[in-house]
Amino acid sequence: MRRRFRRNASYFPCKIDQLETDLKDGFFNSLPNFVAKKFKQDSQKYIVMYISYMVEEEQIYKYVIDNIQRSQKKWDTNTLINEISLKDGEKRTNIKDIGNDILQGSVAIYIDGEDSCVTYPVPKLIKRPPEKAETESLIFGPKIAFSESLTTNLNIVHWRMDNSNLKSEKFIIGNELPSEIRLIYLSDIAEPDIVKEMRRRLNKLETDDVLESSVLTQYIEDNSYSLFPQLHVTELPDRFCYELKEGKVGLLIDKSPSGVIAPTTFLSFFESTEDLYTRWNMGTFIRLMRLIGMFLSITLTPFYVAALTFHYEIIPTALLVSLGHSRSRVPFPPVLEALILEFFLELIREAGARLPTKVGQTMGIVGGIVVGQAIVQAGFTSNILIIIAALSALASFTIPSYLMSSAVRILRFPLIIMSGLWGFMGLFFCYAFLLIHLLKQQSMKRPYLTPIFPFRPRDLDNSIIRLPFLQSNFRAYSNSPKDTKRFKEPPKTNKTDIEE
Amino acid sequence: MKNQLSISEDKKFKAAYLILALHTLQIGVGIAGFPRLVYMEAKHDAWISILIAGVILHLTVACIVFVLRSYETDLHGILNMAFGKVIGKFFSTLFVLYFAVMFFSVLVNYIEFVQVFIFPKMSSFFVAILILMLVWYAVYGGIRVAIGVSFLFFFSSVWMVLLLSKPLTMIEPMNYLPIFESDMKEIFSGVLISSYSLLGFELLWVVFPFIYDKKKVGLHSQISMGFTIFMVLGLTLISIGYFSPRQLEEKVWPLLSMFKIISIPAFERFDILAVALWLLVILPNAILLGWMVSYSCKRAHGLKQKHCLVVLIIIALLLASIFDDRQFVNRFTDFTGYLGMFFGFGFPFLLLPFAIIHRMKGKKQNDKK
Repeated sequence: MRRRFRRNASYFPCKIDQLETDLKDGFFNSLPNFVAKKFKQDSQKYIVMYISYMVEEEQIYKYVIDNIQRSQKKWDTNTLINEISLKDGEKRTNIKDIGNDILQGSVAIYIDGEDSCVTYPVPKLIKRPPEKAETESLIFGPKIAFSESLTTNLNIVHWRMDNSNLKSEKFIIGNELPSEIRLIYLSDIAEPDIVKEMRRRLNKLETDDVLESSVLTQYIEDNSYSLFPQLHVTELPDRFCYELKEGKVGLLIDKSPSGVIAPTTFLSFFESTEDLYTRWNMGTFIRLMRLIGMFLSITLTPFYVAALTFHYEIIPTALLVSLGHSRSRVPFPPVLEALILEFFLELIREAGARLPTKVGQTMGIVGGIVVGQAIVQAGFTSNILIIIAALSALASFTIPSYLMSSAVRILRFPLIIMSGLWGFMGLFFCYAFLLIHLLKQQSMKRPYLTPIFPFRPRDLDNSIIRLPFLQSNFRAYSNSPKDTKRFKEPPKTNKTDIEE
Repeated sequence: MKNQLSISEDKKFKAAYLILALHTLQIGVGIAGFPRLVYMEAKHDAWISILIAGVILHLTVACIVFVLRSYETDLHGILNMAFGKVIGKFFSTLFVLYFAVMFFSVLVNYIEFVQVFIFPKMSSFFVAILILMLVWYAVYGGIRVAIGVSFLFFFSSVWMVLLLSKPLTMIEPMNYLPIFESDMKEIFSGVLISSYSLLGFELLWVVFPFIYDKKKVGLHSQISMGFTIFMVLGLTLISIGYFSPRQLEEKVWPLLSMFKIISIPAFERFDILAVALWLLVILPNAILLGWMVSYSCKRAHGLKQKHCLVVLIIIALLLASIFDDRQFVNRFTDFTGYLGMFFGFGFPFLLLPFAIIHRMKGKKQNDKK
């Protein structure tokens, strides 16, 4: 069917009726909303075609039809292009181009007997305006989040970074459903190798549909088999712009409400821009707390299981009494007890996430308090394990990145099973495996575990701790930025004695 | 076989990482029982033995670095250049075997350690599989991962040393007196025993081409040796001071016995955790040695490194599951020590004259130009 519309220069001039049937029956398969209006002015016949739900119909009447009807002169293709006050008019001689334009929200105008057709984009955009961030909400700092429209997101990024070095490159990916992807970076800071690598991966990518930014990251990341996310997906424009300024590169994807940042390190998933907005000592404290939280979250329950199954010698006598008391009614071995409880907690979390917000809150209360109490009273688990499991669940929720927080929570299960099977040996085996895995991991061919290994002492600022801004004038070395300094060092003040 | 290796810049690492890589390779299971072994030979003058061993160690490492710097290549290239193709290859193979013996020795010693302390009934085969899986996974990442492992695992286990502050406060100073009571023979056998435990610096031979700033290799390897000697010496001094003479001779692993007395409110017996945590101490050993064996094998015989690694792991697995009695482990460790005396401490000095001649030749050629 479509073969008829192959590049065929001799299609025009033609009759307007012919054009209409070719488009309507041939290209659009008799789409009910395809509108073709025929008008006659003096001796000229012309046709206006569009899809009713894709365009601003008012604009077509106001600028196109009114204009042509009211003026007395003779119209042709050139006057259509020059005298209609809509932007981006195009002359089309190929019927397939005309069809595609109409599909993307253009209006096509053809005057009988002319040798080309004119199209004007007048798309109707029904999009969500940028709203407050939901998944990565900040208490303190900018509230705006990316929305689904690429134009809006680009607008936000350019508004936050009005710098002429901000480059944005366009890629179109997807064979079946193409989406536009923008590679954004600061050309005076970002390292060319990272940009080149990202460009290479995007060019290499072949897929039918990109779907979402987090899906795109799974297409282009280094190791698809790892549990850990290797590219950062964020919905916060302030975070996105801050990382670009530090020498990373960003991706914005049309139809997706989040941007992608690359390269990342393991520690960067524990950072939040809020650490920057609060004072440096608070920021440091909160960051360290998150890291400790992560460690506790993967340690506490496995440790409990290992100690109670194999190594009760290590539990002090005083604690052993109360532990024994609360465990005396539990019929399961510690592994099973822990697995049941952790699984239960995961269920509550997942149910709370799936349900509407209001029901979700009730769900949390019912699940957490009522069932939790009942579980202990029924002798399914011990009190102490409930405390431990709740603590480690809490700790895992402090991680700002949703993907990393899920990874940490899932990680607990193999750790619990291993410590249930082989005690501390199993636990440390898992730790060793994890560390080796993280060491082998890369993000955009850069080590995932910097600044810890390869050790970059200067980068510890702004990854594990935070220094006062005046003292941290170096950009992270691990991104190897072109311009290493954020600003010139402030003049040193003379140290004076105690003021008298 | 090419004498000179060309290694791409992104696979190289800085010489400063050698400090921890060499140190972690030297410290292994042996350190837990080391104070008793020296004490048995040199009594309370053991520290003199360790100091003498330290001096020898520093000289040996200096000699290795000198040889490496004169040839600017790794051990196998040097052997090839100094002895010719056939004999060079023969020596290379001997070194591969020696590294493999060290690898097995690390493995069987740790297995025994675990079986005595935490899981008497756990089969050797199983512990070996746990460790060898990790070795396999890590060595696949190449030398950078192996160095990273030594770096990270050092920091995740070194804090245990701080726990010795408690035994430190309980030291009985009279245990050290009188000084110089042992005779030369006893001190010398103490030196011999200590040198066994200091093996591991052979890593330098293989890793040299991978180092980014080769000028600093000498400095950093000496710092590393100093650090190891400091640790070993400190540990021995604390053990001698803390235990009464009879006691120290009875404790097979004095270090763990010292950990036993530490109890934090949530932790009654620290030694159990320490034995499991010791996995993090011996893993860098096993991984670096595994890399050394497989990479040397590749260098010497042009085989694929993957295949060498798999063969090594299978042999280790068989060996660990067949020979798991204490007698065998002891004899095997002693055997490793004897080999180490020759390959570790002796061989660098054997190569020294060759290196000097090579340097002289190079100078002459430079002068001619």
